[in-house]
Amino acid sequence: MKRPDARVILHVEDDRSLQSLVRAALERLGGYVVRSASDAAEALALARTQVPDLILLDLDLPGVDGVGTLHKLREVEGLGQVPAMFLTAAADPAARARLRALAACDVLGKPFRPRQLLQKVDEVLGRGSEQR
Amino acid sequence: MTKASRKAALRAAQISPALVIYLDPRLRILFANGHCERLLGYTSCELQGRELADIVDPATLRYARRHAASIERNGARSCEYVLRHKDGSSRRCRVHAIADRDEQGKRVGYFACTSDGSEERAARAAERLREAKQMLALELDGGERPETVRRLLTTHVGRELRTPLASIIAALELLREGLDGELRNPEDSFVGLALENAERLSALIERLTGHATQ
Repeated sequence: MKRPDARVILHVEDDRSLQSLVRAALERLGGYVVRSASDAAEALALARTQVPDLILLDLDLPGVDGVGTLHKLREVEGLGQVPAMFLTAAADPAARARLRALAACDVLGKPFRPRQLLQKVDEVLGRGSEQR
Repeated sequence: MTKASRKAALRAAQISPALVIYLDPRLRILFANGHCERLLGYTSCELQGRELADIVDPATLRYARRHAASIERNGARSCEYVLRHKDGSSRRCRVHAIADRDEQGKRVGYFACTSDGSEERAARAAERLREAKQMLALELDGGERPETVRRLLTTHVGRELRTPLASIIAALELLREGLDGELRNPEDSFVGLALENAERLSALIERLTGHATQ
């Protein structure tokens, strides 16, 4: 399913089950390439080696939280305008709205279905299902 | 490390929030702190003197030997292991290991600190629950109605349950899509991940309800 021109998604999530499952969903259903990091430091190291097309972050990360991680990533050269999306267990619509405003990105609540995640990622990256 | 320093390190390991194991150069377990019971089902005494092969599968054992060789070359290393629980089930854990050398520089063992991430997640959940309790106390002092209290508590508890639930739903949906886990270990299959997270969810509910009755 992976193509040479496949778009790269940087996924920052400390829960290893969810890391594996998000990777499986986006790579095998969507043909994306997913690079997984567990925290801000790993995410920064990965982002410096390859600029992703999308940053996907958990909000509740150990140490620096998702918002702080995104701010740090934004300081890396070439990452200032990369779209970002939060996956969050915070159900409060007001909190989600604040996230959208804060980081100019999309938000998907947990739990989510893999197809729902894929659809959201496709939307953010401006890709229709026919392009897969 | 001198003998005295090693003894002090092992004393400190007794109160570590993570599982700490000390192994000899042949990967025989000489020490394990109390967390081995929660993570592996064995007591510290039961683990003492056992081979690493008793708590990992053959593939992980081969990986551990390569890991040990890599520690020789590069110092401390962090890798993911699949540990075998006493009941036969598996636990995926992050293992941080460092070689222990005596005053002459001879390798005499390995310290391995193992975490499945649950301690950290539980600590964060407990912290948020404490915050929720403080908020509840403030609300109650302010004469808020029981409905407000119920809403606050539900919000916080619900938040902790959503991550394992997300894994379970994603694993089952991917199975329905006909995708098997193309992952390294059989334990990483989608069914394995779903079961692991169902257990996590169950443990989390136990912890949260325990906390609520305190």
